[in-house]
Amino acid sequence: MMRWLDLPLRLLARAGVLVTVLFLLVPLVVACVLSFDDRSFLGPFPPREWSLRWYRGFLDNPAYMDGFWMSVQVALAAGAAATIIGTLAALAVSDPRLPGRAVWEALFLSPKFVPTVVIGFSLLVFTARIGIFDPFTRLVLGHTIITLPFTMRAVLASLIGLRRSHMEAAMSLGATEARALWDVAVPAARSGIVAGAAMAFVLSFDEVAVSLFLSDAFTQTLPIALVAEMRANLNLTIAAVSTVFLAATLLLVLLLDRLIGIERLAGDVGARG
Amino acid sequence: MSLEVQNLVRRFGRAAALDGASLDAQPGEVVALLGPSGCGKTTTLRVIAGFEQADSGHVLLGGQDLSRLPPHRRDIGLVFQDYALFPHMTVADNVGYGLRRRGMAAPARAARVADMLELVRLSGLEARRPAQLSGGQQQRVALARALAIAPRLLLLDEPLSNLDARLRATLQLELRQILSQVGTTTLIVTHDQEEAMALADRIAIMRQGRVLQLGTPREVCEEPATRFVAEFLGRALWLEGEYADGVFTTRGGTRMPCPPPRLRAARHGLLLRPHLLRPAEEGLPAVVIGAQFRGHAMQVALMVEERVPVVVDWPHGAVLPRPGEALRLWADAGEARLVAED
Repeated sequence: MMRWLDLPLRLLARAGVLVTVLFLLVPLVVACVLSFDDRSFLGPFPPREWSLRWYRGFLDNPAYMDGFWMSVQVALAAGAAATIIGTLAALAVSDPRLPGRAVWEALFLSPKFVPTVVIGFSLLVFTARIGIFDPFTRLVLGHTIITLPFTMRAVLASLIGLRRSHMEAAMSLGATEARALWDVAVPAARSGIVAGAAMAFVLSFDEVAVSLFLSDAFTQTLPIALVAEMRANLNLTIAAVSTVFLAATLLLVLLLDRLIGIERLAGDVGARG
Repeated sequence: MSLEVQNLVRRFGRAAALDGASLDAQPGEVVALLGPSGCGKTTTLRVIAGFEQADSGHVLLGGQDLSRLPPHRRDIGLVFQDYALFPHMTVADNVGYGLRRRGMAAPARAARVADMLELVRLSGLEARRPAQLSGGQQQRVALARALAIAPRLLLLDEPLSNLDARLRATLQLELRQILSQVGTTTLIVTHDQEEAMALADRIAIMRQGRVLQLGTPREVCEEPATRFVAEFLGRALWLEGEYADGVFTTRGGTRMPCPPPRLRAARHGLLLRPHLLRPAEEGLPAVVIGAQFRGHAMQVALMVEERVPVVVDWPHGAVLPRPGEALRLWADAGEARLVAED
């Protein structure tokens, strides 16, 4: 009896999952296919002629290439900074002796919940006020702040397995507290540190809102270059760039899955507010 | 090296975890710190190790005051209840960790690690990771790691509590043997009185942040300082009443001969160990509640003087009494003790 009653509900749930997956995947597939379209306008789907002209266009356009290298540099610098600061913050917050741990943790996680546009604007005003005008420095600063919650969350999650007794054992054996952190806590947190670093890199790489405020005409990240190009002349180069972007991200995620497992990574990304 | 713990006081808010705890251990002696959970024994251990500060009192090791010494400079070996082996290191690296922190060169370190693993009979497992070891093996790695640094004092926190009963008995013997072989002054924290008896030269019984009595297993068992000590160490029949001139008169009016009290106290009670009680013509009136077969012996549950329940081992071959049957129990004067009420 139960089973018969459950059946419609189960079918409905499955249909829901299917529709969601379609909505997630179909646009991506369409964009990928269009990037190989030979026509120079957005014509009926599917295209009849194929070519790699948009990929060539991507490689030939200095705005894109400059943007790509800028993005790589910013993502590396911001990712490194966010990983180091996030790791230290996680170690500090996971120490039971720190007064007001919950407050500190919430503070470090807050960039997740502040609208990125607000962060971008505030940073623009703030950096101008304290005399930082170099757009690269500004971008790294902004990206560090917005990726910090992710690196810290990832490290905190991996530190759950670390028991206080591990640290104390190291200290009783002659390690200073700093030494014990390095020998015991950091290895325990390694998977979290790697996951956090990768997350930070990817998030920085495709970040738009904060970058819009902090970049200038000569210092653009790839997503900003894309947005600018799209406004100026909408053509399928964007589809080609998107495809490259997608492939690169997918590659990184696969690599991470091999290294540390996708669940850990997904668990930390899922909480994005 | 000798250990002296003097009047430790440690307050958490209004509650006192330690309320003037004192104890001592002679060089090479094994002392067990025994008490129920929350009595302050773990806090005492953590103060000695340096992970917690006492509000007042001193810890002296070989005459040196440890108060100002950070944990990593105390040269105290610690075996944690959860073993706290470093999961990402091999057995050899775990055992050699303290030597490495002391800057010992690799060849000497390897030799010392090999010696330690031989001591705990784990030779050949150098390359394993802690996760690949059984609970008993992990426990022994933890012991080897703590002993590798040739500590001035060894602290064991509930060393056998995470192991199953059969393994516990074997490891108890082995641990005792290893401790006497290395001759390190040792303090064992435990809530298990049997473990304390098996491992320690002397036992300190702790309650509410204080050490009530410190003595050999025999002393604390046979001459308990207070009622709490008596009842914590095995089965006890406790009777209230008055003592005068070699005779204790219970509240039920029974007169039992007993030696005079060893310690002064406001109130004394009569302590009788159930295994020394036997059915007799005269003595304490008791009513049988029930009998139970317990493998090695028959046990009979009795209500003494209509108010105190007690379980007595029944002699082999003797006729089992029926529930409801009335009888009398006797203990010789030499086996009765007058003990201070808490």
